[in-house]
Amino acid sequence: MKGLLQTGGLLVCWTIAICNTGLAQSDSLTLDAGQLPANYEIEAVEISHQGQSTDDWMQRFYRANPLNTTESMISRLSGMSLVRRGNFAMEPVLRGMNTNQLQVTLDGMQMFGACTDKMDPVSSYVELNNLQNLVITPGAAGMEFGAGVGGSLNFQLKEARFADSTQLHGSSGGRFQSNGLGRVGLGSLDYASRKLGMRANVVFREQDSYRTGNGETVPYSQYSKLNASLSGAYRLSNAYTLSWTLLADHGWDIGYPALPMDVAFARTHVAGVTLRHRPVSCTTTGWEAKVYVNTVDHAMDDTHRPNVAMHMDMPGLTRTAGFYWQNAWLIGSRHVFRAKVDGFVNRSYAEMTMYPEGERPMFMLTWPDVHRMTTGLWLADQFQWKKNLRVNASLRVDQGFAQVDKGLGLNELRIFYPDFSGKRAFTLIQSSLGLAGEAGKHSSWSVLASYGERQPTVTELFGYYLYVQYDGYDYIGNPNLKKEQSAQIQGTWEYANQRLNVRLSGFGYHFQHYVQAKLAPDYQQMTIGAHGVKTYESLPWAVLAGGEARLIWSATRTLEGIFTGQYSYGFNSLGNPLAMIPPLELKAALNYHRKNFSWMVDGVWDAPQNRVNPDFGEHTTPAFFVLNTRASLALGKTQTWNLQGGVDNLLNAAYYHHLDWGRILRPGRDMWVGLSWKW
Amino acid sequence: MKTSFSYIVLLLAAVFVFSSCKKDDPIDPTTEMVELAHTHTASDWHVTVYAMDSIKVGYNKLYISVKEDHDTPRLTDATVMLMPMMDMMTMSHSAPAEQPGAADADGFYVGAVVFVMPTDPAMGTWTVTLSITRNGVTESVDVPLEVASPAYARMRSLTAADDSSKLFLSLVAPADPIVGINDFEITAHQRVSMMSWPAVNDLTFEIVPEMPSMGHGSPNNVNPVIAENGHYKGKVNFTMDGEWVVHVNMTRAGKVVGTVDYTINFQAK
Repeated sequence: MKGLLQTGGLLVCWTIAICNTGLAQSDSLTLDAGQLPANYEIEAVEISHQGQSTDDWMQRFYRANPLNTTESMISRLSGMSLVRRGNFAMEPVLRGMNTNQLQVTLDGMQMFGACTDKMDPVSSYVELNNLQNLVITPGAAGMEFGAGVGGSLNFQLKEARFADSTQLHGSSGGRFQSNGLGRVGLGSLDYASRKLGMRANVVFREQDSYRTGNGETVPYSQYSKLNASLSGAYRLSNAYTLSWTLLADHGWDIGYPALPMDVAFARTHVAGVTLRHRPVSCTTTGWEAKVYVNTVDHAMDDTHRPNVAMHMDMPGLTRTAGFYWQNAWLIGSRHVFRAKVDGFVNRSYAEMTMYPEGERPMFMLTWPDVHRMTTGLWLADQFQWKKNLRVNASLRVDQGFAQVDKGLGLNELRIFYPDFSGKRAFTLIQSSLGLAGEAGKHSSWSVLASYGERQPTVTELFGYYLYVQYDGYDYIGNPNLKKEQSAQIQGTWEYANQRLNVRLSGFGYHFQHYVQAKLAPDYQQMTIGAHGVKTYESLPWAVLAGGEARLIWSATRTLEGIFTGQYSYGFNSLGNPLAMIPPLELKAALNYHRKNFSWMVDGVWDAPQNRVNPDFGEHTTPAFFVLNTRASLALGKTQTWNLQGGVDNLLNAAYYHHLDWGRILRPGRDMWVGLSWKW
Repeated sequence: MKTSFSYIVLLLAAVFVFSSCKKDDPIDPTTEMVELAHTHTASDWHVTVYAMDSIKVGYNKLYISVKEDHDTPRLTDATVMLMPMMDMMTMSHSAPAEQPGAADADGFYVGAVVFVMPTDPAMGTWTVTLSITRNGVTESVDVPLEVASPAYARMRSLTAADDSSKLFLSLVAPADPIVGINDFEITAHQRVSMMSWPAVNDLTFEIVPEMPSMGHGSPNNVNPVIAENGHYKGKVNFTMDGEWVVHVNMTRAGKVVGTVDYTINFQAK
């Protein structure tokens, strides 16, 4: 509860909070690393743009248990779901909006998965042991991290910290799972001194194919990965800090049971350098500037599959370099004005070579070497209008360019679009206006109206015969797609007292030029066994509405209950439901915590989803209920040892989520134990 | 960052190219050509026959240069006619031909021959007789040419289903196929007699590309239509490289004439 109360406190004393935290780092107010307590668990307080506190409680729980996967945390956050193609690297979905519509960033860095089948979302390159915070901003208000219509997920990595006296801390841990023999090992090392902080972090995960609730083994659901990062910070002076992050994530032998092929390797490398000016005095400004590069390489692999009609190689890569500069000004005592300039260049390239027997290999570009360049300006003002009323206004303008390879890439697309010049430019405008305030001693509220635009993705614009196993069609991009636009309204109401915290939020998104799959009956499939070809079209409009509810009940000092629900309802101008919208989902968790022992039992119930999109070839999904339990015990005089254990899917339910591809059952009962050690 | 780096390199390269841009001497077009034969007429005109590649069964463009001496300019005031002939010991026959007539802008007399069979020592050899007229004087010269069989046939013959005429269909383009949109050009000739091979201008074509190893075709092809002199022009699209078969279906006045196939095998990179 501490975090929640802290959040509430910050909401009330908005301007004070800004001062205390030094730089008003955008939507999330992160404690200055130098002020952090020396204990291992670094906590951050966050306030999202429209006064919504995101799921601090769940995030804290999962960060405290870094042997879990990032995806297991995401799935339990309010409004979040996962698209599952395998037992690895699930794609995050917020309120039914997938990564086409979401901005997913790593420490504010733009990154793009290199897989044309979205096997490697950015979230798959983050480990909980290295995650300080996940800032979720739903809807077009998430514009700080780029232009989008669905919102933003910014994964903030843990930073090296400073300390008055030189300190060296470390941790290590391991975990073993019964289902699929999952094994996890991790270790970290923290060095802190007055001037210099360093942090090293390594996580290894490996898992064989898992068993479902029916006791059947799902072939090709194994994976192996190693994630390592090295970050540091150097205090140049009292006000200036230079920090850097190096991150490498290598995955290999990754099975994708819902796809016709697996992944030989998925590798990413990230490097970023940040210069931060954090004023000693509260009245001066604070700014932060960052430059970064990242590379993602990905190769699919069909050599382990039986009955492959024709062997294919499908490597893909992305290269991204970018920068941002952001500044915050306290104007008078009532305005916090923030500005950010950012930009990136990106190259996305994917190819396919097919090997027919006894013939020359056949080659094509599936992402035609797309070069993109985007620059943006973001301005935001938060104004304490009255004691209990704040106004937030923001504006973002982006200019984006995209160009495909002038040779082969352009020639391919011209078969379908003879007039296509090979270039597209987009001017994207976002804006929002919000009100937030307190009503009485215990409750607070916010409303936000916003407008956002997004550039269609590389796949939607320029994809070339990309086979989608979900519906069995080859997809060809449409370089003439218009930018997707959305006008949105959302609101929250929150009530909090000593025992009870209730939060209700609702949203309504209206889209123009909504990008959707469209059957192209005149075209013939390329992939052997595919049903035909689809492309993308801009529908005149679509609507998505829904909400989330959350109740946290502190029954006693030791027992806490959390109940959440979420629902999205969408339809388009053709009168059909929107594709891949999660059904009504209810989650409940009971947490018992006493001294050095904590125990949690949580359940998830999904309603059946019968609203499916025929143009995407969606299937209906039945309801399911899953129960999990876990406990942890801190040992030793200084509680440096932590023993954890649990059973996921206690009832051994045979189930799948509506967003899971291929209706492949999720893991059945899975017992696990973990041990971690900190010093 | 490779991308930004390559942008910078490109920028520098562009500056270099523009700054070093000079008007060069016109390049001798024969450097891109293959010299097939060199001979002399009775009054010692130097006659050279070029082609873009070695001669193969099917449609071949011939570029004929006439000079007074080997280091004088190409003469442009002549008229050149050609006559292909296959000598098969017991008999001989000609082949479809397009007459060069007057010189083109580069000083070449450009004609074409559809060689309907390869050179075969056991069967026969090809000779093209060139008749060069200049200032009212006509001189003839025989040029023997070696005709090879291509790896993938570029000429097909069939007996028309509607009138039993013997048709010869030669692929002119694509000569260098790419992934993407390709010009598709085909010629149609009829064998009326051993010496008469006129162009056929009244066929209706439909082309259907197919990738046999994968069982798919390609979209948005343009069926060839008559341009002139037995040449039909359209567009064929290859969505990837590898081995394609273009099925060419022919009709005439609503009646089926027949189908010929061309295998086109190419590599994009």
